[in-house]
Amino acid sequence: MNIDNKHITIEVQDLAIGYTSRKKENIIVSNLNFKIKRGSFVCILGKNGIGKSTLLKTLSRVQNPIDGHVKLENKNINTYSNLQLAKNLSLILTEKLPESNLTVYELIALGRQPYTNWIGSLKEKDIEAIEKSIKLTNIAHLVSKKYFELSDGQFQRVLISRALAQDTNTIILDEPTVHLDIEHTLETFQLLQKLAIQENKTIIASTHQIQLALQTASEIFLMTEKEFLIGTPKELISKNHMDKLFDNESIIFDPIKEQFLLKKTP
Amino acid sequence: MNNLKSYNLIFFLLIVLLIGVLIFNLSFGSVSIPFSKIVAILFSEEEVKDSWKTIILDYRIPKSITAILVGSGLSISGLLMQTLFRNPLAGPFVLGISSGASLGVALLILGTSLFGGLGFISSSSFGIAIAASIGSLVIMSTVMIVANSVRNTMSILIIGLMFGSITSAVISILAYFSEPEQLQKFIFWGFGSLGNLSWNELSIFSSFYLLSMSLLAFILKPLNSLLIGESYAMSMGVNIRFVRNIMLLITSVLTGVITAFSGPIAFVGLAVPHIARLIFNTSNHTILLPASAILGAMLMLIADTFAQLPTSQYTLPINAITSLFGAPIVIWLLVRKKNLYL
Repeated sequence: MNIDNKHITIEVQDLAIGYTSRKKENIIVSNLNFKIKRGSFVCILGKNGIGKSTLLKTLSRVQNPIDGHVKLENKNINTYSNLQLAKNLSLILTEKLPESNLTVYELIALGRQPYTNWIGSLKEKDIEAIEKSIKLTNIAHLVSKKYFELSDGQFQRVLISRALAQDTNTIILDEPTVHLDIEHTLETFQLLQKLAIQENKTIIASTHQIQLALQTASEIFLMTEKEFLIGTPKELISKNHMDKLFDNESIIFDPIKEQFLLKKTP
Repeated sequence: MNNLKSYNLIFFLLIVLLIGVLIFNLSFGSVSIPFSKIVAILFSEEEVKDSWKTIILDYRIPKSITAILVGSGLSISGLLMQTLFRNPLAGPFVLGISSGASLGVALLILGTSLFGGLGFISSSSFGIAIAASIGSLVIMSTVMIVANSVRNTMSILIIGLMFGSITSAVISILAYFSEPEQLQKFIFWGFGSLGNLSWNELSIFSSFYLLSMSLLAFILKPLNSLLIGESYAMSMGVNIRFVRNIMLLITSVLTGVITAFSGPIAFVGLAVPHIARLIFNTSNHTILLPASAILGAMLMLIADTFAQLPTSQYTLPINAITSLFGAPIVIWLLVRKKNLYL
């Protein structure tokens, strides 16, 4: 890959990810090398337990790599202070939020915390950023509601809006559509694609929505037990890599329909 | 935001109400003193009976100040605990810190018959204060050490409860072996009292109070991001370990000192933050912290006024009054709202 280093948001060198328990190292994937360009929409595919979340946690410094290192904006991620990191990378997680009286607007405004003073008061610039992120995610009609009054689909948009208000080049999402119905799932992928293209955000999301990922992502990371494959959706399909996602032989990938099919049992 | 004006109006009304309650509190007691004379004692050179002067200046005013410090301090502790543990039913008692203070006092008052030789300290209220502070400090440090190695806040909550059980078990054993007079003394301390503080003790009390309150400046902003969970707070640049330790320090010092000087007082820390949330309908800590402080001070002043049983010479235990007030409030909140929010 010949990409100009100026436009690389994330670069990974000889990375080994996993977790340590009782002083024993459990390596999930090792020898990872890749670069992610600014403005890409990367989807990580793979079955449950394959290490998608571990990879995302390592990329966002929630967890340390076992070996190698992660570079964010050409700087080792471990050299960032908490605050610097918060200005460069924002997260959207699957965990449930504790119930509170926060309004949607207040929740989005929390995204400005890395930039505000000790008491957290919002300046003109902060309000502009909040309003821009509300507009991008189309949630102006929700801002005065309490966030626990929202549907799952609306709430996901609010979380994305909060991450946008944080004004980072990179947004990392862990299974963003997991609780959503098909309509909101489609809308979320559309929104993420739009943010990558229009706003030049680098978006990395793990997902099980293979068809939608193939349609909207600019790059796919395919995690299987044996391999870690990287490519554009077209490349992966044309090289017949998609079949490797499942061990089960009765599930086959149809390259023309771009979807998985169940083999008919005779 | 747009309802900033209405917040200011509510705050203004609450402060007016607080001043009203304070005047009410100063006016009632076992000796009835006309209101005009109280004003005269405070603000003019007019000649007033010496005994009245003493009652107002050396008894009622320190007592009112104590009530304000205790009420606001416990309420702020409660609010911080609820946010820290993301549990609307948390309070200063849950961490075991009040029990730690009680243990310190129990060891001093009840333990002297077992170990002997310390009797001269246990007779002074200052000795009790020091013992309670040491007790809460020991439990606080233990909880803080555990908190650093346990990530899960739910576990810390349960560990706090366990510490509470251990300390009350130790207190029971001490009580079983102690002399009747000492047991009586300990039980009286356990009733709680706002009225025994001299100006000297009050100045020690308030300096600890102000010190811990000033630490709030460090955590004002992170408190709001903690409302959406530690992982998100961390992703927004918050140093969770630092914030958690500051919060533990504030709540421990406040609870320890309050328990030392006025006995274990229940329910204020748990109930008041919810009343504040109900009135202001927000979770924003820049609103909730001052609101809880004002409401807590008000509640303590009212409870104290009731405890004096106006015009009678008896004073009821303040702890019983706050429980009689506080427990129904919590039950009512749970039944009415079905669910308590942070």
